[in-house]
Amino acid sequence: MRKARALQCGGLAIAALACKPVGLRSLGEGLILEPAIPKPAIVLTTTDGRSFDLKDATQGKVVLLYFGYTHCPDVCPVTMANVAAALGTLSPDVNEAVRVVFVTTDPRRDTPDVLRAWLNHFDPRFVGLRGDSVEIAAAMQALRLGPPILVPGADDTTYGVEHAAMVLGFTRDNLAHVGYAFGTRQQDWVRNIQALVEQQ
Amino acid sequence: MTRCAFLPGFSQLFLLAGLLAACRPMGLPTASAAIGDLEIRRGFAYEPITAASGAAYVEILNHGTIPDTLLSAASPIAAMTMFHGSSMADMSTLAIPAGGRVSFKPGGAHIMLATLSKLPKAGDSIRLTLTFARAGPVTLELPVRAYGAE
Repeated sequence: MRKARALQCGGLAIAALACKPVGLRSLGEGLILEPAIPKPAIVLTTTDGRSFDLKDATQGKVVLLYFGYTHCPDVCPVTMANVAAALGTLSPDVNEAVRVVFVTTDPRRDTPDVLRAWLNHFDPRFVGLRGDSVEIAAAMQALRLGPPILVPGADDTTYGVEHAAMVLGFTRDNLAHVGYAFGTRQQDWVRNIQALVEQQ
Repeated sequence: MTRCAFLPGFSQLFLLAGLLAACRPMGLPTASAAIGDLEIRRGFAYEPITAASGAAYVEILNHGTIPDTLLSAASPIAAMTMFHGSSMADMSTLAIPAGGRVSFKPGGAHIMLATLSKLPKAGDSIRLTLTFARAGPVTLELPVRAYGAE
């Protein structure tokens, strides 16, 4: 079983490499964003109430930026769990070089406490950001992501929030050259994160 | 649990080892069941992070020649259970076409377990009863897995 999985992943990795433009091979298995997306100077609020300027606060760091919400059934928690597991296998130096930033697309239900507790389930170092719906939609627009869409549920507490599910990977040049789709596995995250950190 | 035939003989040790490897359970545990013409398989639930909600998944195959309808799902640990499409859109009932299938899976549709009375951990199970218009009710014990389980 283990061997079969390794072979399958090896095949996928080779297929992914074959599809990549020359020169960007070192960025791992994500989707190449061309042109790259500049890290916007958006200002949102952390779960402990501090103002957070994305560009200033993450200067010189590799940033994995994700928009999602804590009532998200699978895509958001699977993504966060896989990134956390990958970081857990990487060196302290790599961990120090990376910031994981989660922006809620559901500020109504994701109060600071709810968001903090949810992120702590994965990794207490993950930065949780909030803003009002206009600020969040503007931030997503600046990143060329579509705005979140509310999907009514059976009642006022069970609604869903459709949102872009890509993790944007910013290198130290303050550009996202790459985005990672849902389905990226832990061993791919290990390679992807290492590649982002090694990129000058 | 798959049964493995024992093949005696020293020269067949390698073959036996291969067979034993082939009989080991594959991948993460899932639940399955059958009722009438319906087969339910690949059932599991994620370990809920908060009591607000959890997510469960099954694949339903209709091997018969008459369509059926999934009317409801219920779990003793959830105050409310709903079927949600990939965009969380509420689906009140679900047609299971003759010879067809309906799949709840991560990144697609899921069975939402809302307002949980307890928080099962990875390795526990969650009881889920699905009720079909024709086939009737069927209960599964869904293995609970962590969100990072691969």
